[in-house]
Amino acid sequence: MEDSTEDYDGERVVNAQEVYLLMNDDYKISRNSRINWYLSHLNSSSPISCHNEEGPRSLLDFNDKVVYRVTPSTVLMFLARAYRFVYVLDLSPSITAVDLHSGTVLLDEAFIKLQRSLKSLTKSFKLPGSEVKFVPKIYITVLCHTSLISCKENEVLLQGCLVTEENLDTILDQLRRDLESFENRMASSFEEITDLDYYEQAEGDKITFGLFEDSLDREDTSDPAMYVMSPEASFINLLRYDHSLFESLMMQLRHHTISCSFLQLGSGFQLQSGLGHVPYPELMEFIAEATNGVYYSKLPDVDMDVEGMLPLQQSILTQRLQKLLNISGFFMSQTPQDIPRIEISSQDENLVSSVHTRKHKERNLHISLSTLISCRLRDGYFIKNVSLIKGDSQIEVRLVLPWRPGVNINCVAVSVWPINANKCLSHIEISVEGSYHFITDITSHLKHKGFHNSYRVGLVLTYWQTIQSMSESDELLVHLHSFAANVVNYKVADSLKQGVPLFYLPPNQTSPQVNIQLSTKDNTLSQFATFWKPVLNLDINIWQKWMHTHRIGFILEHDVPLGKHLHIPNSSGRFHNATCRQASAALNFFLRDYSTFVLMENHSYVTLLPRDEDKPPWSFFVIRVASKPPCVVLRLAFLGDTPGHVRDEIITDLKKQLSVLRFLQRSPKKDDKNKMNISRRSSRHELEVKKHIPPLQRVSSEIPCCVLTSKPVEKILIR
Amino acid sequence: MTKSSIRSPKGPTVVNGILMGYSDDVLANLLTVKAKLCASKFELKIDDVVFIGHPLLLHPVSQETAKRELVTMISFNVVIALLAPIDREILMCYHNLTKQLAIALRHEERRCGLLSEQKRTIWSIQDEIAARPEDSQESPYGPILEKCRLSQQLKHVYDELCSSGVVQLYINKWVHINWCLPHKLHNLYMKDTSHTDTPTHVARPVFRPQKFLIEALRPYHGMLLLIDATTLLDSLPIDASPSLVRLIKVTSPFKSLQTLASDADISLRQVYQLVGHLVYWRKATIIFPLCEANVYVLSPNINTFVNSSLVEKCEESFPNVSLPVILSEFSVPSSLGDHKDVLGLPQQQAQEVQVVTWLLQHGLLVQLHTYVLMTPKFCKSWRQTSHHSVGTDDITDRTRLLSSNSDLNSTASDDSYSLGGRSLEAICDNEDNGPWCPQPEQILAGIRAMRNNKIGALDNQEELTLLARLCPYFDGKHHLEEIMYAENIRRSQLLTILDKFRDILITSQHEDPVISAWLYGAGIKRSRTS
Repeated sequence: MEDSTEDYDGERVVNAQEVYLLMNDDYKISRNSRINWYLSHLNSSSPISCHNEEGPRSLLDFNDKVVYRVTPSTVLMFLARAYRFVYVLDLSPSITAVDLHSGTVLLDEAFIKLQRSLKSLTKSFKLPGSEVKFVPKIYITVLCHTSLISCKENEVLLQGCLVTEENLDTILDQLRRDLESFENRMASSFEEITDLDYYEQAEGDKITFGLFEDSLDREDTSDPAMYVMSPEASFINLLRYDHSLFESLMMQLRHHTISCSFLQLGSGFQLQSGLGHVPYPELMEFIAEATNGVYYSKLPDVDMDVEGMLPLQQSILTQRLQKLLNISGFFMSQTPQDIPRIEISSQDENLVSSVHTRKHKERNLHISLSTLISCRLRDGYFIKNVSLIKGDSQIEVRLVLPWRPGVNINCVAVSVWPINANKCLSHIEISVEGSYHFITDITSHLKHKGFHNSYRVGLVLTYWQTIQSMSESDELLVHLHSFAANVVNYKVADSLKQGVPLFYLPPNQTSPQVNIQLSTKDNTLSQFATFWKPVLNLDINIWQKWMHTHRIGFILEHDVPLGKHLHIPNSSGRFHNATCRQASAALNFFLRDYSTFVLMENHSYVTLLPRDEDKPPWSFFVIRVASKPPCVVLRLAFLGDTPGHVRDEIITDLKKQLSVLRFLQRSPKKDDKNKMNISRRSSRHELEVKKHIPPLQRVSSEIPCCVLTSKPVEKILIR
Repeated sequence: MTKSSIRSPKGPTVVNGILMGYSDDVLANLLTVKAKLCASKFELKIDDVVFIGHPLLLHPVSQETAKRELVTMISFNVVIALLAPIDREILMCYHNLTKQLAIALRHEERRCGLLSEQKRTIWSIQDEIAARPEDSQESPYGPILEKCRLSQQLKHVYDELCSSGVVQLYINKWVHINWCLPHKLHNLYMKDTSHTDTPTHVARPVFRPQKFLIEALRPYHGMLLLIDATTLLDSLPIDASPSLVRLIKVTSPFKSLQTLASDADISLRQVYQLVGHLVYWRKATIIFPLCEANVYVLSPNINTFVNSSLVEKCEESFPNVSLPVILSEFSVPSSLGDHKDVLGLPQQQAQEVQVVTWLLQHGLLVQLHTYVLMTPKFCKSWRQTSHHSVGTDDITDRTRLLSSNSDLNSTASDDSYSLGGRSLEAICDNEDNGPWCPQPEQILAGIRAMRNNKIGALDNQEELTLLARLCPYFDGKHHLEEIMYAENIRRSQLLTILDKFRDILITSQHEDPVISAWLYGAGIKRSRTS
C-alpha cells in the first residue's frame, strides 16, 4: 500500500499506492464528490487522516505516526456497503449442447458457475492493509432467460434476496431445485417444437435468435436505490438481436451505472463445436470492459481460506477511480493471427496492423475540471491516468471511452494546478484511436457519403453522432454551470416570484414560448429566459449526464365524491373514469409555492439554492413533473457539484411535505397559502389523533393527496 | 450400443458395417470398465477392430447409494467399432462423438431417468420374446428398434455417420448433439471432383483442420460459400450465433476477410473463427477475392472426362455453358481479366464470373500467385559490396534454370508448381546460413553499384526507396497479394517496380501453399469410411 516515504511536519508521510474508500450508507456518493475528493487530496499538503469529511470514508488502518498522501499514481478504490446483483441465466436451446472439454452439458455448468460466483461474493474478507473484516450486503436476483416462448415457467427464481455466508447453502439448494424444474419445463415445451419436424429444424419463428455460449450475465450496481430489471430481460434480447441497438444498450448501462460481467460457459471457440455455435467473446469482453465489469472465461473454485479479497471480489466489488489498463485486454489484439511482422528498418510505419490516432478537436471550456471529468465519467469514460505537468503547474487527466471493440475515444483534459475555484477553465482535446481500416472508414465517409453496406454505414454514422453529441453535451454543461456567474441568471422578477410561469405551451404547438403575461420587451427577462430555456428542454432520459437526478414517485388520491358510473354504465352506456383533479391541483399549488419560480405550469419548477434570498444562489434544482394520473413522478435534477447531504436533506424534506399534503379547501375564500401552511404544520398531529375517521366522512382538507411509492410502479402501468 | 464398420477376412472383425465374431456377452464384458477408468477415453484394439468409446459413471460415487436404494445401473459406455488401422485424428473425432452421446445420455438419465426407462423397455421385450414358444422366437432387435426411442436415435446416429458424416439430433428431444466428421465431409467433396475410377489414389495426407485452418488465414484471403447463403442460413440451428448470420449475409467472393469484418462490423479475429468454422463443416472454402488479376489453372487431380457427372451438374446451373470448353480455357494459366469478353454484354460478363465461382466451389481451379525473388547475380553483387562470402555460382545456375522453367512451363501440373515452390525456398535457405535480411541502405548501394556498372542510369529515387522497402518480401515466400496488403500499396505500383527492376527480380507463379495444403490434403484414407 505504500511506496515511498518522506517526512512531513515531523510525521512520516507515506505516498499511498492504493486507497480504499468505503462509501456512505445513506445516500449515493456521486462521481462528482469522488472526483472532488480525489482532486482535493491529490498531492495535498494535508494528508489523509482517519477523520472523515463528508463523502467517502477511508478505511485505512491508521496509526498516529504515519500519514498517507494521495499522489497521481495512487489508485482509489471505492467500496459500497450494499450491492445488488442480477444474474441473468441465458437458457436458450443451445444451452443443452455438450461441452467436450469440461465433460458436461452446458446447463449443468451454469449452476456450477452460479454457485461459485455466489460463494466468492458472499465471503467476508479483510481489506489489504487492515484488520477490518468487511462483509457487504449482497442482494441477488436470479432470472432465467429462455427464448422458448411456449415455456410458461416463472422466469424469476429469486428476487432481491439478501445472501450471506450463513444462508447461502439453503439458497443454493433452492436455486438448484428451481433450475431443475425450469429445465423440465423448457424440455417439454421444446419437445412440442421439435415434434413438428423431428430431426430437421425447430420452427424459427417460435424461438428468437440466440447468442450461443454466453451464459450468465450479471449486472451489479452499488446504487442502493432500486433498479428494476425489465421483466423480459431486455438486455439479453438486445445482445442477441442486432448490434444496431448496441449503442442505446451501452448508453443505458452507462447512465444507470450498471456494470455488466459475464461468466462464460463451455470452453470457448473450438473448431469441432457444433454447427452455428461460435461464441463471440470479444463483444462480451468489450461490454464488460466498457461498463466496468469483468468477463470470466474461467471461474475457479473458491478457496475459502483466503483472508483477503478473492479475485472475483476484487474485480466486482471495488470500483476503481482509475481504470486498470491491461494492454492486451483493453485494446483487444485485433489480429492475433495476422502476418508475422517482417522487420523493416525503413522509417515507414506499417499502415495496416498498427493502431492509428486521429485528432478531432481541441477547445477551452469554462467549467471546472472536476465538473468536466464527472460529466465524462457519466458518459462512460474512464480515467486512464492523471499527471502533473509543466513543473506541477498544470494537471492533465487522460480519459478514455471504449467505444467499440478496438476503437477508443480519448479525451485529454488539462487545467491549472492547484485547482483554483474561481478560475474555471479546462482545455480538452478529443481524439480517436482505432485500426487503420476503421479510421479510413470514418474519414472517407466525410468526403463521399457512403458504402453500400448497412452495418458499415451504421457504424460510421453512429460514430459521428457520438462525436457530435459529445460537443453538444459539453456546451450544455458549460451553459448550466454558467448559472452562478451572471446575476441575470438568478435574479427572479417579482411577477415570477408570485407564481407566474416563465414559459407556457401555446395550444397546437410543441415548443414552449415565453409567457406573454410577462413584459417580453424587458432585456433582462429575455436573457433570463435564454438561460432557462435549455433547462426546460432537458431530456429526462439522459439528463443524469449533466445533473444529479432523483425521483419521487407517488399515487394521487382520487377525487371525492367518485363518479357514479364507475362500475355501472350511465344512460348512454358509458363509464366514468376515476379522476384525480383535486389532488393534481393541490400538488400544483404546492409545487408553485415550494419552488422559487415556475418554469412551466404543471411541468417544471425551479428552486434556487440556498433558498435564503439574501445570499446570491450558487446552485439550483429543477423539479420536473411527469404525470400520468394517478401515478405521478417528480424528477429532481440538481446542478453538478451539489453535495450529497444537501440533496439528501432536500429530498427527505420534500417527501415529508408531500406525504402530509392535503386536498385544497373547497371554499376558495381563504388565502390558499396560509391554509396550506397551517394544514402542513398541524396535519401530522391531527392525523395521529383522528386516525379512524371513515374516508367518506373526512372533510376535504383532511384527505391526503398522495401515497408515496418506493418502486417505480409507473413502469408497469397499463396505459 | 455398438456400432460398426467394414470388411476383412477371418477372426473378429467388421464386415459390411457389421461387427462379427463376438457374442453379446463377450462384448458386454469387453466394453464395461471399472469405475476408475470412467470419464476418460476408452480405446481397445483387438486384431483388426478398434473400439473407441467414452464410459461414464451414472452418479458420482458419493451420491450413488444415497440417491437410489436399488442401483441396477452404475456405469455405461458408448462405443464405436472401427476397422484398424485408423488415423489418430479421425479416431479423436469419433471419440468426440461418443463422448457427446455419453454425456448427453447421462444428463438425461439424471434429469428424467431416460436410460433406466429404456432399459426396462428393452428387458420387457426380451422377456416377451424369450417367453414365446421356441419355434416363433425371433431376434429381439427388430421389436426393440420399433419400440425403444433410444435405439432409434442411436440407429439414426449410425446411419448418418455412414452416409453423410454429420450427426445432428436432439437426444430425448432435448440435449443437442451437433457433430461432424470433417475428413469424411471433405473426402466426399473430393470424390465428386476426382477420378472415380482410380482406386490406387489413396495415400493422401489427412485433413488436419486445426493445423491448417485458423492459423493459415490472412486478412487478404476471401471466403467462398460452397452452398447457397439462404440454404446455409436455414440449416443453422435455431439459436446460432448472430455474428455468423451476419457474416453469411454480407459475404461475397469479391470481398477479403478484412472487408467482411468491416462490413459485418465484427472483429477480424471473430471472422477468422467463423470462417474456420464454416470450412470445418465444409460450408465454405478459402479463396482469394475474385479480381481481374487473379490467375487460375485447372486443378491437377480433377475429373476431366467429358461424360462426368460434373458436366451435367454444370449444365443445370448454366444451360448455355459447356464445362469441357471452360475447363480447356483454363488448361493454361490465365487471368480473369484475360477471360473477360470486353465486347460482351454486362450479363455475359457477370455470368463468366459466376462460372468461375462455380468452378472454384467445385474445386476445379487453383489459383496461381506471383512470387518474387532477387536474382542471385544481384545478391552476389550486393554481397560483394557488403563484403559477404560469395560462392553462390552453383545456385545461380540452378535458379536460372528454374526461372526459365517456370516461364515456359506454366502449363504444368501442380507437381512442377510445388517443386518450383520448394526449390525456391530451398535456394533461399541455402543461400546464406541465416535469414536473409539486408538493410535497405545496402540494397540501395547494391543497386547503384550494379546500375552504374551495367546500365549507368539511376532510377527514380522514390522507386528505389520503395524497392528497398519491399526487399524483405522478395525471398520467394511472399506473393504479390500479401505484399500489397502488408505494405498497403497498389498492384500497379508493385508491377511497376517488378517491371523497372526486372534485371534484378525473378518472378515465378505457383499456388499459395496455405490454400493448397488443405485443399489437396483434404482426403482421408478411403479404407476407413463405412
